Amino acid sequence: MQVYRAQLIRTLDAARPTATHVAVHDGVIVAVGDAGDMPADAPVDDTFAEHVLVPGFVEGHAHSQVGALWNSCYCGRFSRVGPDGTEWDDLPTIDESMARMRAWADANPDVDVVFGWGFDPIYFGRSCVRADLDTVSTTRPVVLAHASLHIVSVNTVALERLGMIDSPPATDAVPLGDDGLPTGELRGPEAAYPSIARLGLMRKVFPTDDEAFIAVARLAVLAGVTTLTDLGIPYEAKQLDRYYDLTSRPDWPVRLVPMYLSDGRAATELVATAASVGATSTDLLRLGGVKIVVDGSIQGFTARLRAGRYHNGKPNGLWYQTPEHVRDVLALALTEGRHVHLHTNGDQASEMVLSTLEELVAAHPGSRVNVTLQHAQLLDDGLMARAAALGVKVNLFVNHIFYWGEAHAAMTVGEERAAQMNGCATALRHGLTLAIHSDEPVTPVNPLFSMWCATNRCTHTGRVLGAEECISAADALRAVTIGPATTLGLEHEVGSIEVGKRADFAVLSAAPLTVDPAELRSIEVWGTVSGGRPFPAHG
Amino acid sequence: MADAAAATSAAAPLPVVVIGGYLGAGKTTLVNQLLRTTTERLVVLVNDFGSSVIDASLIEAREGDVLQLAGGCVCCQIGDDLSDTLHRLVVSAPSGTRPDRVVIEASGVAQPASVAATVAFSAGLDVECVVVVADGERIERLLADHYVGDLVAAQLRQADLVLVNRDCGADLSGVTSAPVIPDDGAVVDLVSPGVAHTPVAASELAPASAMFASTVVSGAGDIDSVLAQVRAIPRLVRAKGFVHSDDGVRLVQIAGERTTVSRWGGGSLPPAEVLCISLR
Repeated sequence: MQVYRAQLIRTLDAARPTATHVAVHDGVIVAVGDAGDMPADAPVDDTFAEHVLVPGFVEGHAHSQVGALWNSCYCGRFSRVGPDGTEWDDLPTIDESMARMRAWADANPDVDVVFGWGFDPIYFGRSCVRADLDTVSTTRPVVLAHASLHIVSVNTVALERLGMIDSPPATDAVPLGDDGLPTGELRGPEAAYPSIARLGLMRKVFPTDDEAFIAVARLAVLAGVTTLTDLGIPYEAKQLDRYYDLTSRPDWPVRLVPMYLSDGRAATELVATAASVGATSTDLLRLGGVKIVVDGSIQGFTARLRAGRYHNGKPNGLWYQTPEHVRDVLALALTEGRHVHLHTNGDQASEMVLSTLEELVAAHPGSRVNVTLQHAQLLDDGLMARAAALGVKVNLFVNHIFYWGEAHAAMTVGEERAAQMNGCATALRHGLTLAIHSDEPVTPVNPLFSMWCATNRCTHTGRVLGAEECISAADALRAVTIGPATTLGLEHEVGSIEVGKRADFAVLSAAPLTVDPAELRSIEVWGTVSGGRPFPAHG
Repeated sequence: MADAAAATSAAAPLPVVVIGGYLGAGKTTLVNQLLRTTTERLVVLVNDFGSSVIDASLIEAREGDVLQLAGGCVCCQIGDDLSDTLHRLVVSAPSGTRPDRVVIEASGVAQPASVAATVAFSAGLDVECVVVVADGERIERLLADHYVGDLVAAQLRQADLVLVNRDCGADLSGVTSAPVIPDDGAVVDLVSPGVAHTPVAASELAPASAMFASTVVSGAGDIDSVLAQVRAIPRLVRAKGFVHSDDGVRLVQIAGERTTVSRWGGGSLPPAEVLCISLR
C-alpha cells in the first residue's frame, strides 16, 4: 500500500473530478480523494507534492519503428526529443540540416553509410539534392530519408554505389538535373526501398534488436504515456517472443498494445491468429487487435478521396487492401466482438468501411461493433453521423494541422476541407468516442502536443486553421486518456483515476485544464507512474 | 556486401515475371499452372500461402516462410517488404542455388507497374514481362465499380500482356493497349517460354495451340535488324531467343510493348534463334 499526494489530481471521474491523494495497492488504485479518504496508516509519498497527476496517457496510434530510426541522425524541420531525453533543435534551413549531418558523420567515423531521417521538403520550397549531401561526405554514401520514408535523397557516392550516376534509369522516380545527371532524389517506395536495401540500411529503418524497443519505451515515459500501441505488426514468433520478454522485465514501464497487421491473407486465418495470440496477453502486453491499412496518406497523394482527385489535380490515391478483404475481416470480427482498427486517411476509404459495416450490421443484428477508424482525417459531418449511428470510434490525426495543415490547404484538399480536417468538435457533437494521436514516427509521440493541436489548431506558420473545430482542454485530455483507452477496449482498466483501475499516471509540472491552452505543449513531464511504480523521465 | 553486389552484377540479370490482376482474377491458378509445367528452377514470390495457395501436390517441404516444391522450385512469402525480399534473394542466395527465373504474384490491389519498378531498382534483376490476369466474367463489373474501377483499369493499362480467363465479351481495347489474350491452356508458354537458360532450339518450345502461331527468326547478325524483323510479325505478343551479334550473344525478350535485351552469361552457346509467338 502506498499513497501519493499531489498538488492536484485530475481524475476524469465525473463523480469526483479532482483530488489530492491516491492510494495504490498491487498496482491498482484503492482510494482517490483527500487525506481523510486514504486508508489509515498507509505511508504517504510526497514526491509529487508540487506536481499534477492526470491519468497515464494512452497513445492509440504509434509504431515501434521509431526505435530503430533514433540510431541515426534526426533531420526533421522541428525540434524533437530522442529516447535519451536529448532535444534536437529546429532545422529552419537545408544548410542547417547538412551541418547536423556533417557533425553526425564526424562523430560516427566507423559508420559505413551516413543515414539521416525526418527531412521534409515541404517547408523549404525545394528538395535536398546531391550537391547538398556531397557537403556531408564525398567518401561515404549519405542517405537522407524524407519524413514519409517513401523518398530518399542521396549523395554522389551513394549514386555511384547504386550504379545510377552514369546510367540513371529512365523514370520519374529518378529525376535528372540540368546537367543530365540524377539530382539525388529517389522518389517513391519503388525506388527508395530497393536503394535502402542495396545500401544495407534496412536495419536502420526497421527495428531488429531489444535496444530499439527499449528506446520506444523511453520515449513513452518522456511523454507521460503509460499505454502505447504498436499499430500493426506481423505476429511472428520472433517478434512476439521479444515482446513477451521485454514486458515481463521488472523495469518495463509501459503497457504495449501491438495489433496484428493484415497482409491480405484469408480473413479466417487472420482472425483465428489474432484470437489465439490474443489469448497470450498479459497485463503489460495486450495482443489480439487487428489492424487493416485501407488506403495511403493525404500528403503523399495516396489516400482515397471521394472527390476522385486532389486539389492540385493529382489522381485519386491507392487501396492497400481490397474492399472484399475489409468486408471478410469485419464480418468475422463482428461475430466475436474482436477489435479492428482501420487506417482510412481519405474520406472514400472511411465511407467504404462505414458502408460495409452498415450492410453487415443490417444483415446480422446483434453484431458487436468494436471498430475504430484510424486517422480518418477527412470525415465530414455526414460521415461522422454514420460512424456514430454504428458505434464506430475515431482516432483523429490532429498533429497534421501543425505539420501539414498549410500543405493540405495549398495542395492536397484545399482550404475548405483543410479547415474541416480532423474535426474534433464535430466528432464530439455526434457523441463519438474520440481519440487523438501522433502516428509516431510520422510525428513525435507527445499527447500534450496533440492536446495543443486539438485546442488551438495552429499550423506551423502560426495560422489557425478551422477554428470551429477547436475543442476544450478538458475534451482534449479525454481524447488522450479515456478516449483512446475505449478504442482499445481497455476503458475498464485505464484512462481515468478511479478505484479499481490500474495506477497509471502522467506526472506533470502544471494543470492542463488550468493553463492557457496555448501553453499546453510547454507543460513539462516529470515522468509516469505505471502500475503504481514511478518512472522518472530524467535520471 | 559490396563484394556480393559486385559478384551478382557480373552475372546476367535474373529475369522476373510479374503477375498482377485484381482479387480473384486467377493469378494463383496461373502460378500453379506455371509450376506444374515448368522445366526451370523458379522462385515464386507470393503475398501469402497461409491458406494453401500452392497446390499441395507440388509441395515437398515447408520451412517457415519457404516452400520447397517439386523440380527444385521454391515458393517464398514476400513478407514485410518486397525490396528486402528481392535483395536477399539475389545477394544472399547461396552459390549454386541461383534460380532460372523469378515469378512475383502481386497482391490484388498492387499496381503492377509499381512492382515492376521495385524490381527494376533492385540489383541483379530484370523485368521480363508484366502479365495481368482478368476474369472475363467479372471484368466489366469491376471496371465500373465505384471503389476499385480506377484501380482495375490501371492494372490492365500497366500490363505487357493481358490474359483473360473464362469467356470475355468485354472489349478492353479502350482500357489497355496491351495484347488481350484469351486463356486456352497454352498461355503458360507465353508467360514463360522455357528458353532463357536452357540452350535448346527455340522451335522445340513453341506452344502447341490453335490460337497462336509460332515463327522462328534467325538470330544471326545485327541486334537492331533482328528486332526489326521480329517486330514486323503481325499480331506479335511474345518473343524470346538469342541473337549472335558481333559483340557477343544477347538474350532478347519481347512481351507486348516491352523489349528487354541482356548479355547472355550462360555456359554453352545457345542457338541463334528467336521464337516469336503471335495471335492467329
